[in-house]
Amino acid sequence: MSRPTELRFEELDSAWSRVIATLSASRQRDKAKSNDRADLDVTLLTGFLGSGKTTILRHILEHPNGLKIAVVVNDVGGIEVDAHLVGEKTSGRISLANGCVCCALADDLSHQLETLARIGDCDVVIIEASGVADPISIAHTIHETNGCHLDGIVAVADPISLEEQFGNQHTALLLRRQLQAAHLVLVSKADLVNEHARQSASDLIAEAAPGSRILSLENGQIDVTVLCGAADRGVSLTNSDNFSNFEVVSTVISPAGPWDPRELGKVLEHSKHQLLRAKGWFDDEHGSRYHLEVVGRRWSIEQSNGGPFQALVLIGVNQADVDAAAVTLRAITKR
Amino acid sequence: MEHITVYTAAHIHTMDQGRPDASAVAVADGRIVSVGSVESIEPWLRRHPHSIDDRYSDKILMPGFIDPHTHLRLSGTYMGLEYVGPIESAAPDGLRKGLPTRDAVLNQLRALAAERSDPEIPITAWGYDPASQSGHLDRDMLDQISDTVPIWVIAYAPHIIYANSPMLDLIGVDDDSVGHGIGRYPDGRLNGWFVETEATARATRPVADVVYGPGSGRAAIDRMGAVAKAAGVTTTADLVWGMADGFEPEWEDHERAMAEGTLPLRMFMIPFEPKLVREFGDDMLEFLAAKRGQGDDRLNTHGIKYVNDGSYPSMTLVMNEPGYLDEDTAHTGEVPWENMVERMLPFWKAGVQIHSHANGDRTLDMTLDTLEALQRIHPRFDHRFTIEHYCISSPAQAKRLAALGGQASVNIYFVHFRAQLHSDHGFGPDRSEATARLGSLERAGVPFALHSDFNLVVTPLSPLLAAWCAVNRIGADGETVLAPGERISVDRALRAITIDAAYILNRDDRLGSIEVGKYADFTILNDDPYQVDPQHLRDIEVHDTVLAGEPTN
Repeated sequence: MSRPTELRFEELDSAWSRVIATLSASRQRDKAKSNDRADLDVTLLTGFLGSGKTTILRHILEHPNGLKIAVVVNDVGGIEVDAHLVGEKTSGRISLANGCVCCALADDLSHQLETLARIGDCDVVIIEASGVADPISIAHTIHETNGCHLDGIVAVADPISLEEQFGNQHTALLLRRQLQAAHLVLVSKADLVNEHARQSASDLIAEAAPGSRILSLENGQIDVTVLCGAADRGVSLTNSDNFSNFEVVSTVISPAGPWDPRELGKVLEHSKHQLLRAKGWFDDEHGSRYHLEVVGRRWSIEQSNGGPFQALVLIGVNQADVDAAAVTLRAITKR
Repeated sequence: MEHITVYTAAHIHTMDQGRPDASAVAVADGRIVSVGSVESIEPWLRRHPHSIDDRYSDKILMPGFIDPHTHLRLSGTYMGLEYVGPIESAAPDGLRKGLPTRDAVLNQLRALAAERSDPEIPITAWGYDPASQSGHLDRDMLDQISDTVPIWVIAYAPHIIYANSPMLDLIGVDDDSVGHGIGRYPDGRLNGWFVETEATARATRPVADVVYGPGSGRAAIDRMGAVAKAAGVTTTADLVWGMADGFEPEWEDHERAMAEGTLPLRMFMIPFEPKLVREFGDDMLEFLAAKRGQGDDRLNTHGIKYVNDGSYPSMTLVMNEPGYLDEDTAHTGEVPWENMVERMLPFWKAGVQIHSHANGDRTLDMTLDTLEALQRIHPRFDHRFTIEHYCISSPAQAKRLAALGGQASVNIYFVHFRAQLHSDHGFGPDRSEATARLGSLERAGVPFALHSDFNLVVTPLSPLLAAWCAVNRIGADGETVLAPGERISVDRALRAITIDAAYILNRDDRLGSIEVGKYADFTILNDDPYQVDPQHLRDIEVHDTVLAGEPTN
């Protein structure tokens, strides 16, 4: 059989679905939707089967640092959280003693998210999207769902099988799409590979998705601060001393600004800063207050009706990165 | 009877197996009075005023084609998008040619801009591929095509939208705008790029407003109605009524289109169950009953629709062992089957026909289990529980479906357009080849129809093409016959787009064949599908359709 256009047809079909998703998502949203920060933060976690998403989710559910996290997954049974944490349990939903909940992905994600946002008993939502799911389509749905705010797209990559996945023409396409859509890339299983393998995984990711912010994890241990924006609501950092294998460093710029928001946007768009996250409020030269949020490559600046204070917290993997970003930002003031 | 019109034809295939052939059909008040020859219908003509209409005297006349599963309202808007991708793409008017280079794309956009009469309405295009079409588009480039008509182009990899200056105005951004993913030239001017979720969402909103604005639903119905009519369709069903804009607005759009003569079809609105339940709760059955009363023989509601599985082309259907070739590429949502019986029971008991979407063989098992449970709780005859799509199945499942009294509405197009692709990608050779087992359904005695699902999947809408796929089962390579034992005869295939499709919609007493008393809906063909080489079934041209006795051309 000769099928020279095999892959392209596949691409075309997914392109079509994405166009449909993009258009549909756009019309779900209420005209009156505000950019109110009270919106429920939703993080999208992508990655292939076996990449380590479940381990990360289990870790987060067991160490929510006081946050009530709702995790939306394909298979609720697959999470296997610590038995002593499990409260009420049905095939579609597991409630945990610490206030977190794990629920099955419904066929109407938008409706499911709206319901979660309306009921309001969780602080943050993490959606696990697996396999062929196009992260951009899902991100659009989240972005345009009333009462929800897309916090970031986080991809999980498995350093052991990454090379093989890039070698297979079918998986390579999906993998590249996932990595390019991601704001943060987590390299899992760092405890199972040596430094060399870890580095070559990072190189492969950087090649597929230039400018990626990449973070290595051991045993799925990640600070909830990095995964979910809501964790640093009010600019207070959780204590990450508990995880000896995983550390984030942070620095605070206070007072932040005055900056021209346009200048700041330009800097963020072109900067190669290695921040995982940044969040806070700054003033412009006229005294108007703005909210800034950075998740890896993604950033947003929105006018804010009087944020609580004029300060910015920067979070990264190592001190040098964070300091360098702080220097870049402080320099804006001087222009 | 005020007046009888007699249509004569070179040949009439009545699809009434008892009286299959005729040469004239008498019609009055939208119904068939008699079918046979001008001589045989003479007793009627002697008693009533009449005229002979021989405009089809050298044509082949058949019952109006029925596509029992489409999404005209939902897909009409999407099809308003112009395709500018590099490879061929199936479209309502057949295949759209791929555009090899950026210049070809710009020429195409230029042609569209030139014929655009209303500069307020943006040109919306999709499928641009900067990798193979020699580089990105940008604002200045698009401004050269038009600096008055807004132009919006969405690419497919990576996710990016291109806009010209008028489009930037519509989106509401200027050089002072702040936002991630809003592209700029080195001098700081906006370059018309919108990259990533937030920026693309921002750029899409005004287009969505236009695409979905007041009147857009009606425009979509008109456009897709024309596509269906051109393919010879006289009756179809919308299988997700309520999903696009809500039940009442969608109903009103169809009603108005029919009243104003822009939708030459009979239309059954099949409500999307989750939406119906959410919106009407305990009153759902009353709502449907009220709508049935309000509806007529052109527009009515019918049945209830469940979506319990993913789709074939996106490989999201749920399969039995041994599952997908690469489990990694599968994304299968789990359907809460434990309460499916509970969800279906009120409709089952009320005698509302159930249409349940099942593409994968595992979903099919679950659906059959559910049907069996319904039968045990509340046994019913002639319930016409319908499996929609029926893509991957086994002969045993066909027999079980027969035993439970169910039927199937099958998407046969995938056999030709997708099956070979999926033999090495997703489903494996066995299940890909045996996609849409019509032969097994026939042997098991299950009634079945062919449908297009137009256009939620990238396949055309054409009942004759569907029949061609069913009869020949030729793969995308143009030669390989896939699962030859699942082919069906030309007669059976033609029944599956006429009388058997009417049966699927429980309207075979009124539609689907040319019999006395039935609605006078005909499809007029230039060639005889029973005479042409079966390999050329899809090439037969549709000349016209007749709806309720009136030619639609």
